[in-house]
Amino acid sequence: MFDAIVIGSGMSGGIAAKELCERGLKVLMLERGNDVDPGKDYTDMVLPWEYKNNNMVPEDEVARDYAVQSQCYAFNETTKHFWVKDSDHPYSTPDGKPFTWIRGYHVGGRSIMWGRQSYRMSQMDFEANAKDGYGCDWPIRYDDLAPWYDHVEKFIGVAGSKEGLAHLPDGEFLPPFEMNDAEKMFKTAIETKFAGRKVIIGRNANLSVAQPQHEALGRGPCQNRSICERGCSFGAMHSTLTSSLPAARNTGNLTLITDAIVHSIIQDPKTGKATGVRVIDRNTKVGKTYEAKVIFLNASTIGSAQILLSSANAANPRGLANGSDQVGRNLMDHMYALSTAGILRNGPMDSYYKGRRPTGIYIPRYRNVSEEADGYVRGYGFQGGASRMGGKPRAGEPGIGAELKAKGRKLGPWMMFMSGFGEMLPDPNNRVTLNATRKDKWGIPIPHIDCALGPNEMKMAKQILADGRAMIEAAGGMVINQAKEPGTPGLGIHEMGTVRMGKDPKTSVLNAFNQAHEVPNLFCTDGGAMASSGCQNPSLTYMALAARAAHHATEFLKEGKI
Amino acid sequence: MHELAQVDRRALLQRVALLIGMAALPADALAVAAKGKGKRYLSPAQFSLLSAVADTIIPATDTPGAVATGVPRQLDGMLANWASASTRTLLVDALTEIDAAAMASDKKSFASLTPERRKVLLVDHDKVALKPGPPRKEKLSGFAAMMAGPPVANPGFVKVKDLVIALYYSSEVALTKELIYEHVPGQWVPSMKVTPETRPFAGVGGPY
Repeated sequence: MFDAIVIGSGMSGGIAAKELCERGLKVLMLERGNDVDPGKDYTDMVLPWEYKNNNMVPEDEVARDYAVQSQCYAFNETTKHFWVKDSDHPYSTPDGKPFTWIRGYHVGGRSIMWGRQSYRMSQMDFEANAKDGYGCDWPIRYDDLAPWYDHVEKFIGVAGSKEGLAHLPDGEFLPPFEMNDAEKMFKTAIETKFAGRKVIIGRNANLSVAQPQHEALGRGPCQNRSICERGCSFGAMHSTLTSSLPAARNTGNLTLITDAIVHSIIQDPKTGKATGVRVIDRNTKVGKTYEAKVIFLNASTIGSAQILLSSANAANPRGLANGSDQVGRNLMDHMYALSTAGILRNGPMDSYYKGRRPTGIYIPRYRNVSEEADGYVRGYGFQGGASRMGGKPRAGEPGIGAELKAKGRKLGPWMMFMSGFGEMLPDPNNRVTLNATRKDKWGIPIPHIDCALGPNEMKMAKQILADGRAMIEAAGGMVINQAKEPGTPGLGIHEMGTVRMGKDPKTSVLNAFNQAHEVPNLFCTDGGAMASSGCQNPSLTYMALAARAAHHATEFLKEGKI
Repeated sequence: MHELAQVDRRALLQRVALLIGMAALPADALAVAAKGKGKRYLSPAQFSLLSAVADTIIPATDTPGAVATGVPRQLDGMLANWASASTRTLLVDALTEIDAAAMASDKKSFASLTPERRKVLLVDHDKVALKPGPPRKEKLSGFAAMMAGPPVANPGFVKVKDLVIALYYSSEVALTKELIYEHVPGQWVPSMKVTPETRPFAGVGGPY
């Protein structure tokens, strides 16, 4: 019997396990996928001329096994082993309503391939549902989470600049990566021409300067390679493998079991408490049960909903902790791929840069903050960056022969690229259920994902594109390429909301401590817990919620409350 | 964009002037590139054709070209190991078309033409191939939709050209002699003065 079981070893499960271990609990971490051996599985030392098939996965294999995963920008031959085979892990969607569920099943989960952008949510975000009436009110406010953001930022290492913005709070930052000269020019232009808008350097979980707490875990400073998704042998980016797992292991309190697919959580009908989990071995398909005093559910937004729904019992036919009928509902993502690219005609042609900086620029939300929105609530931020064209010539431009090579050697103009990330509202009809007939290889009903963007999102998308164009033009740029519509939901890879926190057990699944209203020793601290999505990249918030919940769960355990 | 194209063109001509005197690749050197191990797809005649096309797209200049860096051999391997049946057909048909055009105009196979004549034909072929084409059949989402660019008249040729370029600019020769590649840059230097010697830093190779 363990003190705690953590289901999932990804971004939030890693932090939950580490925090519980450091508080003296004997923790079992269950991972449904394989173990990852950095020495063997990281491909960051593969050189471009060593690529197999020029780093492209064979087309028939993509069609057969990776039709969904291949839509992620980070999917290629060197990272292929970090993505699930869609053929092994199917899910269903209604006709004409695609959902792009991008994931990796292995120790570390998506913390290996994540984009590393790390922003705090603000008081404005935690008040949003209460103010405009969408979704249910968050049971916490910014001040509840602020110390845990501090705690997590110090541990994982987040490079960033202090900006003093109430709606994008500063944190415990490492020195920021610096903007290049065109980005500085862009910043001046935007901040001069649009009062209230800010252009800041992206806040990212790459060690600009490694601190003693990072070096103690074998982590070193970022080498500016920007091939982070292959795994970082320098340990310069935060992932479960570089940070949480070594820290958890250092306590001597961690047991990690891989290839253990959680089927369901077992509840004692007398006490209502969770007593353990049923797992199926990925390879042998043999079932097994593990017991613990506390369960942390960190299987990712859709996975956690699936497990709760699969855990239905006689007293809870609709699923565990689901008296509210909110488990699986309110699925959100961020609107993604609303991108604009343009040439900065007045960019500093005598300036260049060196290295592949692992972050870009960020434009914090200004709609419904300092500027009105065009008929919608909430807002969006932009990520982007300026870079100089040149190098490998483009096949889509006329030219062959010596001229083509000569063109490649020439430093080109500055290109500005920016992409909006739009907040999606919680909508109970955007929902994960269990497919009534289809099961996976392990006999578990597959998730059915029914999700679409609503009218608020579509109005917002229009203004994201209009603003992207206006800002590039205001900086003296000429737009040469622009997206026409948001990517399919899921492509933002920020899915959240299916196990939401709230004040009222009738309308939410978790309380202010990420504790299930109906199952006091069950906590969920992954994206599922989010009552609203903000427009900031959410991983940092999941980690802060996980650390905070681990603290409270340990206290409750000590006090005999759970 | 028009303005920039003009500027680029002038600079390009300067560059080309500097490159005059470079030897074109002798035809029999194409055969050297056929050596190598691993699966193959093309017939010897098709491979010669691909080699001639690759050599025309990226010839040897003051640096080695596509043939010396093994691009045809790698592309042949990709036809065997990477391409789907429809992509194989698309690419092989695109190559065959080039040969057919050479037969029609010069009564010779493309591979047996002089490098100068090959270039004349392929420059025209490239221009025509890049004219606007019918809308794509497949529905693209996300960045793929944005980055795909407008549909072109001859997607097969543009794909051949794209693969030749991508393979060449992933080669050690191109990344160390044409451009500058640092696998581990170490520091991020946000501002550096451009000098006449400045060359672009390469990305990390591959298709992008």
